[in-house]
Amino acid sequence: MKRYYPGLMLLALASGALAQVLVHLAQNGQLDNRAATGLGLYVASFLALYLWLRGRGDPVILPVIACLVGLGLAEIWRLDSARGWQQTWWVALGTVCFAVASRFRNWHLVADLKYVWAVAAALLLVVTIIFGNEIGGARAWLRFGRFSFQASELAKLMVVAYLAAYLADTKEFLAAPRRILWFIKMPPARHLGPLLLMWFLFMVMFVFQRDLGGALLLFGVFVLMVYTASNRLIYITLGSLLVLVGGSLAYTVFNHVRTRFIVWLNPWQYYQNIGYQIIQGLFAMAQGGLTGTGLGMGFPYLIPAAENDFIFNALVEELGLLGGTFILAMYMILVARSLTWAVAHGDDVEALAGVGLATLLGLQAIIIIGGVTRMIPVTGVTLPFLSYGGSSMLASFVQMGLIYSLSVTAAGAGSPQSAAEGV
Amino acid sequence: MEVSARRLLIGFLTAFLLLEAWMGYWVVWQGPALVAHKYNPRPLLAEGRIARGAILDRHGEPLVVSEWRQSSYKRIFTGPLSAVHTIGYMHSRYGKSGLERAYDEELSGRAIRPAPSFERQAGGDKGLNITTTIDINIQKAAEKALAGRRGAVVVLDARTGAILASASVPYFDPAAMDDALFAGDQGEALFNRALQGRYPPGSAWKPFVLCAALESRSLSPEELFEDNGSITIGNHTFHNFEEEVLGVISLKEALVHSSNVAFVQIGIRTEGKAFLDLAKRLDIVSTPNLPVPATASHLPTLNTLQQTGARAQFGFGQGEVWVTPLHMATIAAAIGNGGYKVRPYLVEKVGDKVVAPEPRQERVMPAWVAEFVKEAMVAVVTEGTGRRAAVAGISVAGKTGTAQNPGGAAHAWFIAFAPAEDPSVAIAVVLENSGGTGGVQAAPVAAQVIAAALGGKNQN
Repeated sequence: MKRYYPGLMLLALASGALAQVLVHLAQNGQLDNRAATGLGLYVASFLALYLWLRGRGDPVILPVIACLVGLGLAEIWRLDSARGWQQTWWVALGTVCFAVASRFRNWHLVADLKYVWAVAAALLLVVTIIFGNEIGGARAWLRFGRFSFQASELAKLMVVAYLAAYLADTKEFLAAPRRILWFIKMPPARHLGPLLLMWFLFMVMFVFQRDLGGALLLFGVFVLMVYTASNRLIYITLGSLLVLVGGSLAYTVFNHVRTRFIVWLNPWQYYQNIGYQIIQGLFAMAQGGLTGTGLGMGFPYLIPAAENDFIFNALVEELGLLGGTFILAMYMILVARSLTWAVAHGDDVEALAGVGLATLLGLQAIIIIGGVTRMIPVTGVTLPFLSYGGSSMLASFVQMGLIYSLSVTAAGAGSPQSAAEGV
Repeated sequence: MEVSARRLLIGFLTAFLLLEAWMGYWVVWQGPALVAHKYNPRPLLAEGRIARGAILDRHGEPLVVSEWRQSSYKRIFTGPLSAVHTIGYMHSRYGKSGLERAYDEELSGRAIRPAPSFERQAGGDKGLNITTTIDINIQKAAEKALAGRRGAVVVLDARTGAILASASVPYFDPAAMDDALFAGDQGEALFNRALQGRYPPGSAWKPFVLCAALESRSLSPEELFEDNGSITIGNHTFHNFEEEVLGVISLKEALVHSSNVAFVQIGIRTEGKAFLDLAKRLDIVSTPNLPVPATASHLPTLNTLQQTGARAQFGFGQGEVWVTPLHMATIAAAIGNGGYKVRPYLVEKVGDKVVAPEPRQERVMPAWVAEFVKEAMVAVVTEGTGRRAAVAGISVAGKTGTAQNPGGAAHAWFIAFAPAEDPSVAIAVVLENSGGTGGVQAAPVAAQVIAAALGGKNQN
């Protein structure tokens, strides 16, 4: 039986729209033409997508995204109305991407084109290193006329595709390691090769692109995918060791890495310059208190580039600890639903791809939120669905569109309930 | 893969819960410290959005107002700047003082509703106005009379204790506080001489001494004194001002002509306890119960006053006695109103709510004592050292003082109340190191202020 859950969708759209209305009223005391158009575009594109999907898949994913996107748009409008207007169009385009991705069924292509993904991802990386523009300290942007896009956003999807294909082939070998020392079990070297190759690739990204967050994210996804495919904790241990080794190497060799660490450990000492952003971020959260200053009533503009990496702090300032909790809960729901649908596909390539996409989303949120709350050093990745930025927004919509596709086909294979109970 | 995927999910949920706890640490645990942190500009910016209530004089004339300037409210001190020490300032770097600080919750409106609704974007809400006891005209007159000097004027309602004027000179402009802070004189202008300055009172202390002496019956009102211009107690000789020889004088004449010889004897003959009891009843040895910083006056201890020499000095307001202008005005008010205690207060209304203390009739000295001293003080102005305090059409009662001090030239004092028959104002004037006598320097200041307060004409 089809269940549309229209109430959930309408509730999500209403809260997203309300957030934007509040911001416009707080800023200008009225809804000007552009704000009203933007609001209409937001509601219309999500409604159209919702109707087009006809409730064949997961009923929760889209409302959650609509809610997150609504909050993100509200905060971006509030910080910089020109960017709010732009971002609204990226969101509209994103819903189209979601629609297309949700129809994706040819998962065998992922397996067949295994090396195409790997080579394309590597090429993209090289091209960006050579021709890329530097924005925010990371050489991760390609420029096409008026538009620049963050190549790593596309590359990360390709890496997930490659890893899914690679793991679908080799998971048995990876899962049956041989004993090499009396206490350490290791997989055979020829299967370990790609693992080290990936690590090397990420180190290159790390070093030449200075994209610390991107490298950490992709390597993390890689390690967690290998772990999930093999169910061997040794890979997480190995992966963490490699991150530590790579990190300490980079720390001793590269200034920009050292700087990030020093700022993380003692931002107050560098308040005037490199510590300013993180400290303003902490002030913003503290200002929010339990329930926040109210949308449009705080001072998030005091955080430099708040609409990018630090949008979480901006939202916590205006929505408080409760709002922050709400956002974290939304990500938890998305990750949990995604993993559920992935596992519903057994251990095929689409299952592995689904785990990769879920991990990508969750890890990206953790890395950036951990960074801006000073749990780990700030490494600079976008917060999916919230941060300003077209490439990131489109990539996130494609990711979740693919997950939605998995939910549709899983529902065909069995009932969503039984799949949900599987995890 | 199901097992590992489940573990992965648990790992993710744990990580998100950890983030939640970490966020809570900043918001809840570190929150107050971060909000109050010196680098955090937010509280100040928030302040700028609040339409703060105005601070008004007793008739509703504005002393301090908030005005919208481009992107935030600005606090503007429109009243006489000589009151700035008492009224207080609100400064982006130096914070708040005076009433701005004491009534911050009410002025900002936080006392009646949470802050956000007071922000301009949300509508026209405004914090509460504070109506002070200050009378802007009297304050202006005091400021004008003090122009170019260093000193203070305090004017009280002699019946209720309402502070009608609290002028301290030099003063500063809160809009240019750095000028006052870095003037190279250790912030002279920031000091509230009216409520916190303690000075030896000199002969202006004699009415107080006379009250205590009469009340304790250490001398009779009919007593006569022989004044040869000086008197030797032990191995110390006390002189009259300019060694004037007054001859045989009555008690009243001793005050009228400010005879040190007579008051040295009165001091010696009166018990120390009588002085301290009166001071305690007048509330001048404890910190004034005001919402702004004010200081207690200092009198010698009972032990010290056991010594004859100490009482001799105390008799004409020298030695270990330092009194604030506010307390000198309090003494004048109590004598003038027939011996009732006055409790100085500064705020009449918060919003529409009257907060002035209920008037209470509490006697601090017998009526006949107050009447006797009042008559003597009237004579001070009509025929004695305080003639320059006379105001046409108004009978002024007062007492001069010229206080020796280790800090330089003598301080000139004048305390007074008027109209003498039924005083509405009591006043204390002190001019720091003025060099001249209280009669020449301070009395005309008092006359100008009394004239402004009562609408009379200053005879000078």
